[in-house]
Amino acid sequence: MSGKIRMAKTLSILALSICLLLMSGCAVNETYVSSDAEEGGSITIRVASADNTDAFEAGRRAASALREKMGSGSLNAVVLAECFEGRAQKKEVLKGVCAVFPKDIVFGFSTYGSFGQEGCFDLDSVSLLGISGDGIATSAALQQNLGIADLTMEENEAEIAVRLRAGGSGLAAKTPRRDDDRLMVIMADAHSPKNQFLLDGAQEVLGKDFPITGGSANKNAGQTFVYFQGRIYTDAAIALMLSGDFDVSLAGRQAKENDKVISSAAEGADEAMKNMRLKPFSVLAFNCAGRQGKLDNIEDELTAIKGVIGNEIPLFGAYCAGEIGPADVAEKNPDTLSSGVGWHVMFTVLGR
Amino acid sequence: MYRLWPLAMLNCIAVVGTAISAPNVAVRAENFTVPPATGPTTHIQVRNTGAAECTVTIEPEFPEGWQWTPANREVTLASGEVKSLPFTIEKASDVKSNEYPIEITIIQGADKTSCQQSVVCASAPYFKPKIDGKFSDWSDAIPFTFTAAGGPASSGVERKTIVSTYWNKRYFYLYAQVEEEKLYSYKKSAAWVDAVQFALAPRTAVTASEAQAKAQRSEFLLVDVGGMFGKDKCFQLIKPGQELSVTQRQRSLETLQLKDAQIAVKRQGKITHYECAIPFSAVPTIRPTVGREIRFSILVHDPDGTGIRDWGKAAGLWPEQRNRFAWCKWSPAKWPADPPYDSKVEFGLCSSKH
Repeated sequence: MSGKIRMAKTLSILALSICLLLMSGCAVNETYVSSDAEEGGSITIRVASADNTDAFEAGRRAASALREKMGSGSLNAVVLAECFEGRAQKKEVLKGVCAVFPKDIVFGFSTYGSFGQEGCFDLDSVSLLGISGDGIATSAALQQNLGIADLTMEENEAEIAVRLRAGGSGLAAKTPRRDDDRLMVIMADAHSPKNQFLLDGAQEVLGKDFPITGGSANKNAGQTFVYFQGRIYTDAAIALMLSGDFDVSLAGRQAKENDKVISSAAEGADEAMKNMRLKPFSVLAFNCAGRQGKLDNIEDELTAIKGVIGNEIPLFGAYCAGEIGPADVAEKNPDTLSSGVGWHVMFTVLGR
Repeated sequence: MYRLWPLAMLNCIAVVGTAISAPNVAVRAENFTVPPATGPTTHIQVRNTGAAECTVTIEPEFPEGWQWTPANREVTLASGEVKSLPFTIEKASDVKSNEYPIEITIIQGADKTSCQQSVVCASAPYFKPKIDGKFSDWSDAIPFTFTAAGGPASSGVERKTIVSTYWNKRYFYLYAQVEEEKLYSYKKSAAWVDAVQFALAPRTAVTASEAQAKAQRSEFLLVDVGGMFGKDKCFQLIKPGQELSVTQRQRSLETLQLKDAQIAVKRQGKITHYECAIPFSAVPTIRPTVGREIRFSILVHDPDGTGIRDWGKAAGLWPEQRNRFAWCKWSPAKWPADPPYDSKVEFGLCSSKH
């Protein structure tokens, strides 16, 4: 009898141990921190892109090209903007990128395409931004289950606002902070105009004057993904904080027609460059897919941007379903640096 | 002078959209090509129908609670000139009915003419539906409805057509629900055939008025084949680059079948359902991307009922925009003396209605 009891106890303990082991394996680490930035340390930021109907190959090629451009140093973070159809292909892109870089440093989102000095990329393409050097530090956070996937603005606006504000503040609160934090980049499955609610939440934690930029993930059915440490999430948001002894300058422009899209991109880039009093070393551009759709020739906007920033400063651009940055609207709160809007291109120039 | 045109008088043309005329000036609000809640720029077309130059101020009033800019625009037009005036929607909400009433006031000196029009969001969201005749994948579309009356045997009864569309990287999808008494299937010797005919073109495409000019559109015809084992058919009536003279020729449809298209036609109650997928390889002039503005229109052939139902007319195109080269004739379709309206009504490829 006592043998049976001992056996039952042993089995219970064994079952419990297996459960705990499984749970720990399944648990997602929702934060990431690189080593701190050293004052005057090196900063290397590069961009690489690839397009290929074989999603794995596109990811691997872009990552290999980035690896080569970055040199021998280990990377703090890789930001990925991909444009493939369907979850299966997106997983393959991630696999391709993670065949070259460790999963832990891969973050990003599903987009409508990307652009950089190499050109504009839409279907079946991926662009990567690599960040390395002991002069720049990164931290990141993931906010899962925003809870808005089945809600619509027409019927559930108040509920969406509550949930996204909570999601935004949760995201910002869990992002590891440093004294030399300079810029938060948010990539979220919360498109315009919902992105303002998410930003409201983040600004409750960071303050309205903290520099925040970013973009909303592709909202095509079956493509609304963000990526955190090489894994796919939907109904989620991620934040990437960049820290170090550098400065950032932000500018945003809105446009909804071909000529204005082109001219406003040049104006926005020019404002961000002029406001950067230090030497620029990178430009981020979160652009609206709707603006892209208004262009008679997609390359025209990029040509205008390159006319301002040139070919030497690495440009990482993505076409999004909503943008975060300085809003180009008539009624703007002067105390608020960034807003969540649509139809904008949001430039951030990093300089030191 | 302030006149409010009787709405009933306007609705005699169509339920959804109506071209409107004030003395010497005609106006037409374009349909939205993305959901209005996304804050698009929309356009109001203004045409000087008079013999002399005129200057007018156009002042739109969008649905209650919306915000837009500017409040009005002044425009000077030469005789016969058409201009497209942009208005940016800053705040709006989408509605399930997909009908948005707009009041347009035309101010010309001391005269004011106020007109009412209803527009729709004419846009295909991104999706990959199955073309299986079950029609279960269309809840994420943005359907628009138009009605037509008249025709040989309808006794003035209004019949509804509901059009839904999707797109993805490889296909343009169309689902038309056609209310009609009876479905006449495609047979070689048939006197009557029910069908759906639609056209796709780039935003900048125009329909020329000379037979030797080149087509800038792709045009398709969907028919039910009937019978237990009959496979419904899609014909490509014209391709970009073909001479417009093709539109007036009676050709054997069999040689025009588009084999790569997928199509299912089903009859349920008094509704004929047409569901199809057209490969973008058959529409080479359109690059399918989010936000892309294109041109689209649809004709419904209901020979024993309303005759030809024309989205161009329902969308408020002006009578001057009838063009015999805008649609391909085919047999045994019954074509009225007045040709249908242009096959190029504003349309968009959007991401999602959510």
